[in-house]
Amino acid sequence: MSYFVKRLIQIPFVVVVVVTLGFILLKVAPGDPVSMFAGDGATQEYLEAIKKAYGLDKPVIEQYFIYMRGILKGNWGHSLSFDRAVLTVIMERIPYTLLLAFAGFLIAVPMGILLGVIAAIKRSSPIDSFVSGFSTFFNSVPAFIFGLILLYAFAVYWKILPLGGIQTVGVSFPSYAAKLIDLLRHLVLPAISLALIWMVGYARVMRNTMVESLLSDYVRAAVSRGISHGRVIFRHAFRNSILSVVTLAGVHVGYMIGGVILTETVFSWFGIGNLVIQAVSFRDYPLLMGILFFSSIWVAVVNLLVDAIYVTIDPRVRLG
Amino acid sequence: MGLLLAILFFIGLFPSLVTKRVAMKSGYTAGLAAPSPGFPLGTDQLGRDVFAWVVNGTRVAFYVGTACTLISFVIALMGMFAGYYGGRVDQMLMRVTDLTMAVPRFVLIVVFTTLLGSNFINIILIIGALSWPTLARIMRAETLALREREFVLSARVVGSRSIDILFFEIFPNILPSVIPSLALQFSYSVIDEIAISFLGLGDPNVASWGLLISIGRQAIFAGGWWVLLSPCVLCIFLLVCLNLLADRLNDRFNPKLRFNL
Repeated sequence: MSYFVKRLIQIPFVVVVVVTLGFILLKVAPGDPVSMFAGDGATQEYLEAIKKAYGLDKPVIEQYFIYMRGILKGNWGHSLSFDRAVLTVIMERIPYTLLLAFAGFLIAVPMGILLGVIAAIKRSSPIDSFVSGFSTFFNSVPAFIFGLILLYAFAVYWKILPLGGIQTVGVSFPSYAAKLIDLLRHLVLPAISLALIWMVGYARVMRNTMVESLLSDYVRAAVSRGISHGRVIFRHAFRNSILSVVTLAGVHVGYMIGGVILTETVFSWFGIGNLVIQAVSFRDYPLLMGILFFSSIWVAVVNLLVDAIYVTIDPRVRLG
Repeated sequence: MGLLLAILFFIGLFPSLVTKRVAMKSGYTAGLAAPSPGFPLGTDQLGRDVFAWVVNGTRVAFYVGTACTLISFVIALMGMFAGYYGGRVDQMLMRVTDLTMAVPRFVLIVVFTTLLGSNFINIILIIGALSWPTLARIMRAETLALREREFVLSARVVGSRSIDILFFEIFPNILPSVIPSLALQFSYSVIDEIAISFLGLGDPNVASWGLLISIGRQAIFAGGWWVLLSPCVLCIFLLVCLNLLADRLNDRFNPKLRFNL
């Protein structure tokens, strides 16, 4: 248990360091926020008044502590482009990013595992080399490039799926089910482009760990005891390989926010990745910093969860 | 594969031998024009030659890849020192790499580029400076494994200076594990720059593939698929070649890791 306590303590530590980094970046960034806020032709008195109102007349160290205290209390500042609290804006987007990621997983994990298992059982066969070529291909290229190609093919050329966004604008839906189907139709392309990239990761990991366990002594012992082929593959080799799938899923979920920025941009998906672009194009620094803090807290929490799952499913792992 | 990569590299070095037109210069045609003998990859909405852009983009990609990989390699050498000396230096380095891994890298790149300004040099420095932790970890792990080996100990016994041991005994022996990662690092840096430019955060004066891809995303609605597909295909091509190269190097340098079961 002490391991978890250590990990838990790490979370506020990470937050403090990332917030400090954010504060330093804001301070060294070129451009004066006060004159940007006031606009051109502002009088000296007006500038002073703004400085005072936002506490920018205080010494830097004091500003830093005010900032830090605010963040830790959950006051992440005021988004300039939305004119609302940063944390509210972020929380509004999170469900959509989670939905997209979840849909991606729903395709990627079973398909990847299936491909990996087939490749491992038929190792050194044409199927195996096909899977490995397929994996290298999709492993090399970022999801948004495939997203763009899918967008062109299915939404622009064949016009069978919507171009982007999360719902058809200007249409009233007769029922809740129709609305849900509309959302799912918007979800298909971004989810597939994410899933293609994730899937080959699972296929690779699954294949390699399966091959390793299929050649190990405990599997050979099981075979020699006369246990059926299928049972050996699924009860012995497969169960052991699931651990590495969990590790990879942890990485994918943890770094989700970095991963979906581009895919969400391509498909104008109403999630946190798209929010990043909004923050950037409006120079909405409080929002941008909020997303930075949120994504690092997310990584830390997911890592903690993955460790917990690990201990639960693998009795050999005792994190001390 | 190697030949294809060499051709791309050659194009990147001498774009002027392949195309006479200037990349990003508008007005070659009145508007979007389909591929034709005069313009092998067509032109975009402002009449800019896509072929010239894509060719010059190859050069940009090689600049970015080489510069960023070099920067992260030099910073990552710290991993070698940390592994060799151990103790507090090592602790510090490990904490720093933990922290950089605590934030999604691409989010950090976006934040840095937004705040520090998006000129080409800045972007290269930012990508390079945020990409070293994985390499540093590899170097540290390899150094740890070599530190107590006989040839290192014997060098120490005969009185070699630590810096000589590091660069003449340890460094050549960690290279086999490092070189394949460098090829991957190269491809990640290229992806990062394309992504940044695609988001409109790149240097507007640099003929990056990413910028052309973002123009292509608009052009497809007017039927200009060639503006989108040309840079995408070339980019997929370069990235797949780099990954195959990394795999091949790995097989070559670390044959015992090969999965030939």
